[in-house]
Amino acid sequence: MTADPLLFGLETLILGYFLTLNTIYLVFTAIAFFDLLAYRRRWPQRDDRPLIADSAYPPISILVPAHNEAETVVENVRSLLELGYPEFEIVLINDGSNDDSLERLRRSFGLAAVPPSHRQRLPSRPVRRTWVSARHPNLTVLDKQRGGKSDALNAGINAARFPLFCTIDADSLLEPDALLRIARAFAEDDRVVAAGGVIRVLNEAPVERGRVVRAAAPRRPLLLCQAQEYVRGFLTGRSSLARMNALLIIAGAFGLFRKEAAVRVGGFGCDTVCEDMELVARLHRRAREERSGARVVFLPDPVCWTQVPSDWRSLFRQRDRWQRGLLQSLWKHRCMFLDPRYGAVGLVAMPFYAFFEALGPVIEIGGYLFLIGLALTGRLDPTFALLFFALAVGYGLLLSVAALNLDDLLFKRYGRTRDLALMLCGSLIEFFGYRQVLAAVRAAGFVTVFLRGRSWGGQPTRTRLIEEKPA
Amino acid sequence: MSGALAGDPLTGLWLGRLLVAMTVAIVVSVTFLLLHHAASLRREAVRRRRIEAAAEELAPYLAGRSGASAAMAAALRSRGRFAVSTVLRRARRCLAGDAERAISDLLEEMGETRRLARSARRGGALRRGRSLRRLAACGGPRARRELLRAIADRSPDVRRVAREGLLELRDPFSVRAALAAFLAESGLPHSWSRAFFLRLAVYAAGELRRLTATRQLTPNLEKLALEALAETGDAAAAPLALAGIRSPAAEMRAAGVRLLGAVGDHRWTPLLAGLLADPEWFVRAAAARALGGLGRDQGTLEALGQSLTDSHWWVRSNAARSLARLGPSGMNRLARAASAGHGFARQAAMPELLRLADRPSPPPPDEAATRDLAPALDDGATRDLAVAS
Repeated sequence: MTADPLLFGLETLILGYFLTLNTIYLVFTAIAFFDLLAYRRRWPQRDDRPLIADSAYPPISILVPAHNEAETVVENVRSLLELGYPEFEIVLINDGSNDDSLERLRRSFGLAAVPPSHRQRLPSRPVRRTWVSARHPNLTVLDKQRGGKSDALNAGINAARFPLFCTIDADSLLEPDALLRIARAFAEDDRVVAAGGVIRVLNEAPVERGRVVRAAAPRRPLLLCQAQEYVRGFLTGRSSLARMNALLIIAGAFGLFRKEAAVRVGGFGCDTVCEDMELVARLHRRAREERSGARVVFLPDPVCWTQVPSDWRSLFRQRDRWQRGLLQSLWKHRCMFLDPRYGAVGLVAMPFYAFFEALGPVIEIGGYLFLIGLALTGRLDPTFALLFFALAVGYGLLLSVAALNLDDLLFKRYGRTRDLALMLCGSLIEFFGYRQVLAAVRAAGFVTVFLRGRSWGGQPTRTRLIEEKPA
Repeated sequence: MSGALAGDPLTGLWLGRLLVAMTVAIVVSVTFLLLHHAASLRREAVRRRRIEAAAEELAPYLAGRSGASAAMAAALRSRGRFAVSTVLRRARRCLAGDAERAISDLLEEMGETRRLARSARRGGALRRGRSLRRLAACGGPRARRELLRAIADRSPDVRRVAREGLLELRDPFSVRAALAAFLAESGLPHSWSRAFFLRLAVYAAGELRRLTATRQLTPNLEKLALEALAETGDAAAAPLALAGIRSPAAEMRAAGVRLLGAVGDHRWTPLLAGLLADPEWFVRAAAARALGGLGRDQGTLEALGQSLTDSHWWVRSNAARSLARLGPSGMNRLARAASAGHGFARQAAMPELLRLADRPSPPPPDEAATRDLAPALDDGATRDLAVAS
């Protein structure tokens, strides 16, 4: 027996939590390895366009919501126009920008105003004007009153002509074959209602004519930690949950949805700040309730490069928003929690997101504070401290390196060993400050969700893309 | 913990082992990652350089010039087996007839075909499939024998590679064997069937036409066959398209319409125009789209004009796009529809009109059409259109 049962209980709880969390991630990594290996065998990394007839690819409407994105919006649209896809249209929704985004778009693409002609299937703030490009018949720009990202996306769905729509952030760049690869899921399986691809960090990557010319690890520690986090999160967590058809998050920066399915569930919800997760949860819920067999899939090779927050302030706002969105979505769909009628979503995904993604930061921060408290009061047991270090840092580091191994073995994105070494540094340094600070911010989300609710929390800082100089 | 386990030598030992194991695992993972990455990059760079050099050395001999055997032997010594076989396999894909056979003989002579045939019988499905894919690129009797053997492999992935490899060989016997193996399989994924028919349409369109004409395929496969023929633009497939159009199954009718749109000509426009009244919306949509590429006669214009008021949006959208493709007469029809308030007509007409205005010397739609369109635009829009022009 222990001298202090309360302390012993707390120590066991904290250690047990980290052990369970990291073991779950280890299982996810193992599942992801076999899943991604099978995927790679079936779809080798080559141009498979000739193997699938053009007519088999459903046409896609690409929705790009933009609010004060003047710095990157023209570059982004230009890269989208060069996508290698048989038939697509771009619907850019200027969501009440105060900057000169619209003026830049008008100058760059020869926009002319036309009367709006779409049906209002989903509620959205009024569209002031519809613009079409004289040079690119597949480019439409909607200029609407400010209503937030969800509202802009709903307006975009109303204006979309095609049966599938793809959501892309205005500060993101798609790889040229990303649409082909992600649309394959819909061409193969009619039950697929949503598909997500991989998001990678665009900041500091060399860009030429709207395309990322090579994957490069960022130099700045803050970006490096995020780059590492994205690799781990996408390749292991999402891949495993998607295998169980329990994927609850498709990044708003790059997701492909079946329009009719999205319209049937009411489009993007304006009552949450994480509209992407909430829509996917609703799609799952409807599919399970109607037993339609609808699937939400994840594909590891369509890649979207996105700008991540480059300063702490923007990062705090982003993570606070994600945490609030997660809590709002979980609360809104709490009826699925541990309900066997909702299959893996109710029994695996919801508890996982609730206990480890939402509640995790609170326990993590609690653990650190507890450790500090014990040290300050002179009651710190070295055994506990070492075990805590081994489970929280060592185990986590091992998982990060495993995710990088997975990425390199199967996809070999980084063309230089130096970049990979930098990513390894990122996976190490994230355990010394970065994770703890973000855990604190996310833990504070339990308070801010009541204070800020649906507030977006300000615009992240955008930087110009780095244009690679021709040799 | 909390003093409970402190000082216990067993706990210390256990904890020490745990920490050491974790450290070792991390170090091993990091070392493997970095070394593997560096080694694979270096290997790829070396291979690329060798392939380029081998291609330069062998290029003059690949079109059938004498001395190929000696040149190959020299390249084998200096550039290695991988580079030489890669160059030969890639060259064979681009050649036909005697030159193609000569390269197969060279690959047999250097032992590559034999080596791949051995490798295709060993290891996991991934390795067997990769070897078979390379064997198909080598060609020759041994490759054919091995591919024929592999169509009964236990792995569906390997069987797929074998079937597609046989198609790649292109000789009638191999194509028929691949086709028989394909038809004997059941429950193949949709994308596999589609890829097979597309390859068949490319390598042996006649065989695919014959198979489709026998009506032995399931409706789903028949539809895929028609789509593959449409994709390769096989003009001789027009009779099959007509048969598809007469089918009672709507999916088949739509596939037939798409095929006719891809391979037909203006003679078929009355037939397609008639299909704009089909009870199924996707058949009507396919007909509306197909008409845009075929005829400019008055009947087509009228039929497409009427489809602008179809009950289904996709039919209306396709009709408007087809009218826009039909040139000034189609644009006039669109402009009239736009002025009458048809949203899809307006949406299709505006970009076309704008593009015409954007050209240096545009062939503009007639004045009446522009005048007709004017009421559809508000003042600001007209001003913007003028600015853009």
